[in-house]
Amino acid sequence: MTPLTSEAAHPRLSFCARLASLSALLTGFVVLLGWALDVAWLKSLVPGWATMKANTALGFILAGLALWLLQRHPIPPSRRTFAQLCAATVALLGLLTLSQDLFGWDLGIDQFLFKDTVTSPETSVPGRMSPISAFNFFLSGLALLLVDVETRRGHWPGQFLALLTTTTSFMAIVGYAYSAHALYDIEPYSSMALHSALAFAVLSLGVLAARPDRGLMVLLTADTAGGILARRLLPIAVFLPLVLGWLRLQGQQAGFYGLAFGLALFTLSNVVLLSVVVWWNARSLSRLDLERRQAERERERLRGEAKFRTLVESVAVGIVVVDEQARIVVINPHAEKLFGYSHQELRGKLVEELVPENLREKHVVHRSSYMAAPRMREMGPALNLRARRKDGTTFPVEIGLSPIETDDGTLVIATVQDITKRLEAEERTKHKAAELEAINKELEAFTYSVFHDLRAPLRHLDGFSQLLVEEHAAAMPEPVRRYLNRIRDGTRQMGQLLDDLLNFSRLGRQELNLQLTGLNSLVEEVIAGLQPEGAGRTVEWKIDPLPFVECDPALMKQVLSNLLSNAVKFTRPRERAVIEVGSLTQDAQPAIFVRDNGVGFSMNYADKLFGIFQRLHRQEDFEGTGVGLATVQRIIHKHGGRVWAEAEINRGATFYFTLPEAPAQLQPAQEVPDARTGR
Amino acid sequence: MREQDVEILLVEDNPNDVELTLHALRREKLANRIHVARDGEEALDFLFQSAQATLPPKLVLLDLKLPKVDGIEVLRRIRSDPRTKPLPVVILTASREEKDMVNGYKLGANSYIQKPVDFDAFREVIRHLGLYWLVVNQPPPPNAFRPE
Repeated sequence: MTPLTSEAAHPRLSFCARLASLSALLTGFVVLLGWALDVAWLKSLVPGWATMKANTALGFILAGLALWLLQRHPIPPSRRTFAQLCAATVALLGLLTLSQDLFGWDLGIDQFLFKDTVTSPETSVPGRMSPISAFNFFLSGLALLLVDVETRRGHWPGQFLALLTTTTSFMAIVGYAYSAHALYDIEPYSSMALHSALAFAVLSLGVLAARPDRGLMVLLTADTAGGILARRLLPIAVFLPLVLGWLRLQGQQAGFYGLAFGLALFTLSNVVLLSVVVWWNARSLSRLDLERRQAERERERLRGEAKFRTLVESVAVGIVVVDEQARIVVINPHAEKLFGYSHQELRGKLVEELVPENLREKHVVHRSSYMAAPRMREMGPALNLRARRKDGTTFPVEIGLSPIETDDGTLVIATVQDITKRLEAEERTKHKAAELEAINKELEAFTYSVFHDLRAPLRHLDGFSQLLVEEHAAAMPEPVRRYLNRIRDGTRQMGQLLDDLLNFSRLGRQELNLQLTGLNSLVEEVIAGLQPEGAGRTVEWKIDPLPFVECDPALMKQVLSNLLSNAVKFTRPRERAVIEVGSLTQDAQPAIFVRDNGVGFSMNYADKLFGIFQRLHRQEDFEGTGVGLATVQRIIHKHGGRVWAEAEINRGATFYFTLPEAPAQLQPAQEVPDARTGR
Repeated sequence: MREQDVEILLVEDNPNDVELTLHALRREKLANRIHVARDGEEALDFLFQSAQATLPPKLVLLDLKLPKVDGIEVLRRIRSDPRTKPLPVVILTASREEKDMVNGYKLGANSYIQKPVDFDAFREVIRHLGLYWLVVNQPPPPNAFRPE
């Protein structure tokens, strides 16, 4: 992206700047020509008036050249250097001339180009320009030098210098207009020529115009109300008093009125005209401002409308907007697709066009009562709403209504969604559920017969092996007896496995029968049932007070039974088994633990512990089917609890499980310590 | 003459089970007068035909999974006919389904026993049963079988 140059942004001002530089150049050349050919009216516009000196003309040529060269962006360095050389020469010319006047020197520069034959009446040195001109050259030379220099505070000194030049030259012009010599003539030096003053004014304004996007010029060129005001009032502020003053002077000199009356007239006309100008400008500015605000509002509105339109057109929901008479105002593309109409066909039609024929009358009643008190309303699938397509077919819909107040009265936005697919999906889900239920039932029946039919041959195997051992032992060599016993062990184990598996598979579909249960009594029952297993051994039971929990007592008994029988089993090698049942609080939930001092296991296999058929011990060391802990886990999970274990080889194992705490109102009445008696 | 020919009616379709049960009963010297019905129909035929001539058995050992008429149906018919209604019926089955237990007891079974896989345990069960129902228990008197 190329930066916007001042030329492109303000072509008119750039043109003015170029015109100014050309004017200065031209003036300089023409006056020089006048000197060369000795044409008096070229040197001084009016006979007897001050002449523009040759050096002055040269100064204008150089200054005009510098301004011309500093116009176009970008300025190549060589061109800039040359322009700055010209500008510096102009400033030097002014400075040297001034220094001659100040210190009374004669550097011989005044008649360097041409010999001044005509000495002005007041001029002390022939060919020397007026000190005001010299000062102006010094200023404008510097202004041109500094035209692209910005101070650290963001000021542009070149512009101030140019403005100062404008002021002094304007002063001279006013002096000529009002015949006030002092303004362009400093005794005893030569006075400034009128065309010099004009050229300086043009030149300095050109310097300002050459950089319209900087410093003071920013406001003047701004597209703001302030900018407009400045552009309009500045010329009037400059020229109105000038003209009025001149008229007043003319009138007074012609003897139409005296000093006091003239001043009064001048003041009055100034007041009146300035007031008119201010009022007129203020009015037009105000109108402009109003228009601008209006345009802004309009733009805002259009933007909002565009947003709304985009939303309405792009949303994947049918939108139908109706007016108070239920005539369709807007219908979005999605709704067009839903109903099979184009929006041209529907606009202005009654909304009943989209309602199945047999429901139209009822719909009119409904929407009339709705219109009486419109509000947000969702009409879901429960209402069984149907809509009608152009071809007369209908489809199930869900409709949302929301009224909006607009300049055209109340409108109702209806969102329409075709819920055919959703209903189909629901139907499919229902069907699937029924299917699943049937499969489940079938599976249940299958499991049932498989387990029972598998048990029968086992019983027979066991029974006949036993009979064989009992009745034919004498005829049997020892290994045969041993083999038969192995067969019996196998069958019994398989019988156990079948029982465990059946229990386990039942757990999956069994409903929990939750009751508030005291765990201590369950533990006691289980321990009583375990007596045969611990027979002949020393088993020390440490049972802590356990909480009441909400659980399925039969299943909880099975959990405890599995855990405690495991504890009894895996402490078998211990002379003195210690089995502890207690409770603690884990993550704000009560946790029950069963701890033993048995053989334990390696925590490396802890993740396998609760998997079905997973065993961490050899069958000949500790019998088992690998279903017990899987069953425990399934039951605890069904209750919404968690089960885990900690153990160390030969150091015993601890099994923990949590249960959701029974709601307070289910807790048995506890003995509350009586505060009064301090018990 | 109305004499008690049969003390136990064993309703069991599986020959192996029949043999093992008979063996267990014989060992306890209880198997003198046992009739074996091999399906539900046979059991009902026996009960209703013999009911005319003889005294009813002291005990019916009833399997549930039977060909033709299943055990639950047999029990229902037994209980719905005044001539057989008071019969002590013990369900002896492989099933441990709650549904079967509930149905059995609702229809008036006197006991429900799951056949253990372990033959020793099975023999123990049979011994208990025979001892209890044939020796300890007082069977229903003949008048109990008369219609009201």
